[in-house]
Amino acid sequence: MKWPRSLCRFALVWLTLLLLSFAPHASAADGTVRLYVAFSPGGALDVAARALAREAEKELGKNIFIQNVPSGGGMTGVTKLIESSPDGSTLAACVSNALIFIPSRNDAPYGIQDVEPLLTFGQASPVLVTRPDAPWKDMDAFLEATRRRAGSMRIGVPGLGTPSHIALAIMAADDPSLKWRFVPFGGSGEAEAALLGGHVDAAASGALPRMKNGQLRPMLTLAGARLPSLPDVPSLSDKGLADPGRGDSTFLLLAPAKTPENALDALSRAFQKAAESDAYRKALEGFSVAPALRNRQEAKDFLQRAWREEGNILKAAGIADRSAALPSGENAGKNSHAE
Amino acid sequence: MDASFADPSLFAGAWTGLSAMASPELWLLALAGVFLGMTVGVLPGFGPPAAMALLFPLVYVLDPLPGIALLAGIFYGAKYGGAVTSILIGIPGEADAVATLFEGHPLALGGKARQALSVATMASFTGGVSASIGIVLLAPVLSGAALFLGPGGRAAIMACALLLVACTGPGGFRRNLAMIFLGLALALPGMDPVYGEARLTFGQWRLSGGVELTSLLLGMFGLGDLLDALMSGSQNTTSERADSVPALNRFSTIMAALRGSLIGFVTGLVPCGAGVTASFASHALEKRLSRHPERFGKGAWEGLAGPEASNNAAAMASFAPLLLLGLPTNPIMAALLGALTVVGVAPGPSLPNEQPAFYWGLIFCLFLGNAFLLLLGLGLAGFWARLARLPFRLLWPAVLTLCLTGSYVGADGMSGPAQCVLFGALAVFLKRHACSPAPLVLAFVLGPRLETHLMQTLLSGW
Repeated sequence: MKWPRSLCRFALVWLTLLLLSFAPHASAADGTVRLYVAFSPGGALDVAARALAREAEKELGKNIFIQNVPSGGGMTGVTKLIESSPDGSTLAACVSNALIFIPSRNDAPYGIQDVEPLLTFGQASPVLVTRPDAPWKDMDAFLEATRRRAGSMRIGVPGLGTPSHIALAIMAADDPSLKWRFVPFGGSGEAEAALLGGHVDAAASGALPRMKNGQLRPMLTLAGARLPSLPDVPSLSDKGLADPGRGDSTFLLLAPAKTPENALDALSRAFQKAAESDAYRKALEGFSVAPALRNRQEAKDFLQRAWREEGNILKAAGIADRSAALPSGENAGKNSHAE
Repeated sequence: MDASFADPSLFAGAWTGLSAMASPELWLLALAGVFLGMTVGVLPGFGPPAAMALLFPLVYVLDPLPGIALLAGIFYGAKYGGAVTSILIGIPGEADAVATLFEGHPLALGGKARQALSVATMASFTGGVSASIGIVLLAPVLSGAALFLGPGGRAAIMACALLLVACTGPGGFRRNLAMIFLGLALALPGMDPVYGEARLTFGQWRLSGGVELTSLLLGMFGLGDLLDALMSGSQNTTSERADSVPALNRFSTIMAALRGSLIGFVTGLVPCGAGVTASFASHALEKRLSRHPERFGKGAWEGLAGPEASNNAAAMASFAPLLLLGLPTNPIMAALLGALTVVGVAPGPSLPNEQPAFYWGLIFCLFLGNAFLLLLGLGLAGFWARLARLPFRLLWPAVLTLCLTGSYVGADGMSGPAQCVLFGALAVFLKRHACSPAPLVLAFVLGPRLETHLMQTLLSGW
């Protein structure tokens, strides 16, 4: 068979391009730090990481170049980190479930031993909200209504297996009189919309500005501590409940394992200072993120402990068998190819 | 949501907004946004999400209004840029531009590239401006109504869109239905949109991203056509098809653009894949209404103007749920919502009253941006049209490079070009069997959302 000449030319050009694409990637210019953010632009982690980086740039005297890698629920971002050279020039920011929850179920090419945590710089604290015109005004009235309606109450969550879903599932597992139908949405924004449209009775939300201007009524902070910006809303520990979201919704800053000790020290010092700055705290105000700051050693211990406790938490929530229940942060990764 | 059409307080802030427009900085940034958007729209793969991520830090330095106007400009500028490549070289940069390709590309092949670009620009402008007027007059009422369309309603709309395309698309009902199922199947691998567990990834985490939309578009349209042309050896020149192009009927084209604007505006308010659904629906409608349905697919002007107006109208209309409800209807709007939170604007029904300078300023910026789009589009149409007259032997290496680099950027790795080549081969196979790839693309885009909304409906258990 004789190929048309045009097809031969086509193959030639194609091969050349293929070879070119394997040319070594140009290495980053000296004095630049690349920070992979395993979240879509505009999300809570992204805003927090960008604010942190802006402050840390001043401390380090280096430029920090941010790249959003939201796909795979954060897996891609972490994988890019561990594939980079461990010289302190590449870092990643992720929500801790990208290290704990997701890899165990998706054959990710990394484990927690492949990363070196530098610090934790926040904890997403979703809030259970309802419509302002709903008959239940607070959490106790909502629980009362749940018992009365015997299993027909619907709660919109930003995805099955997200911290807010697990917190509520544990409540329901502890108290047999509580039964809810959990409806998963692609992020808390959609869950709020469904709440306002009357398609669910309550929703887990992160939209602080809209709670403050009265569009949504906050009932319970689904985290261990109250949010500084919502001081009147009780938290899980106020109600004597466990805080299961701790291990999944904490913001971590990571370096690849085997990064030299002095580079790690310099980086963690700079970012620690940045996380303590007023400018960083101010950036978090609009988001339901508690400033949960831990230094390098504490972050490492935290990650180890969260890894060990993970199985028990899932079992307690009664969703361990449905091992699926997989979180992708509040809305990372989902709909990544939409429009 | 209780603000109604008749509420005069809604318009009280309009003057504040107009005075906020009196800043050269704002004009320049809106122009920069539209121009950048058009540029990234023309480069497939490097879509608006990437451009937005790059420019996001500017939000911290700029004032709220100019910052958001810049990001918004990128969004709708890119929608228009996608149409340019669709018409000229038959590569839709985004799923929204696929319906533009049906009529636009045959027109360009027939030597009418310049007129086709001008018509697309004017239709885009019509869609953008009428949707912006729609936002001013009706958004508070309609965006409230959109909330009441729950998961079940949205799933039904998407199923209807698929059925509509199956019935009216080129190639016949049975072939279209087969293509729709193939598209739905291609959307399956990756992360399950409801349970979040990996499926059909064969234990390979790298497959968890699923099939990349950019690779699918570039492979199916760009590379597929290219391979087909090279293998058949017929290097279609412009002259041989020139006389098959129907003449431009201005009145019916304007009517088509207005109908398209209406469809786009309504679908843009509801999160159901606005631009794609609207443009396919508009193309189908024009084909139904036309007295010469046989001209469709060969360069019918109505079929170009309708979808182009509707996807820009949908882009504009999606600002209404964002500003008045804080509800993003697509990932780019989600990024804008984040930007709004950063600059301290709280979206909600009370926004026009609380921050009139911002709300009205942004709406006037939408008008302004559309005017820039019209000027830039008409001004550059002649320049771009010259590209379409390049001989095929010069054009195809450029198209090939565009497809491969575009898919590389889109997937952020070598899996992009690999998928692109596979889909190119598939496209040739489908073309030889007279199947149109358009229903496949629509099903691929809508599939995960249809699944999500269906599951939500079932899980709510009513």
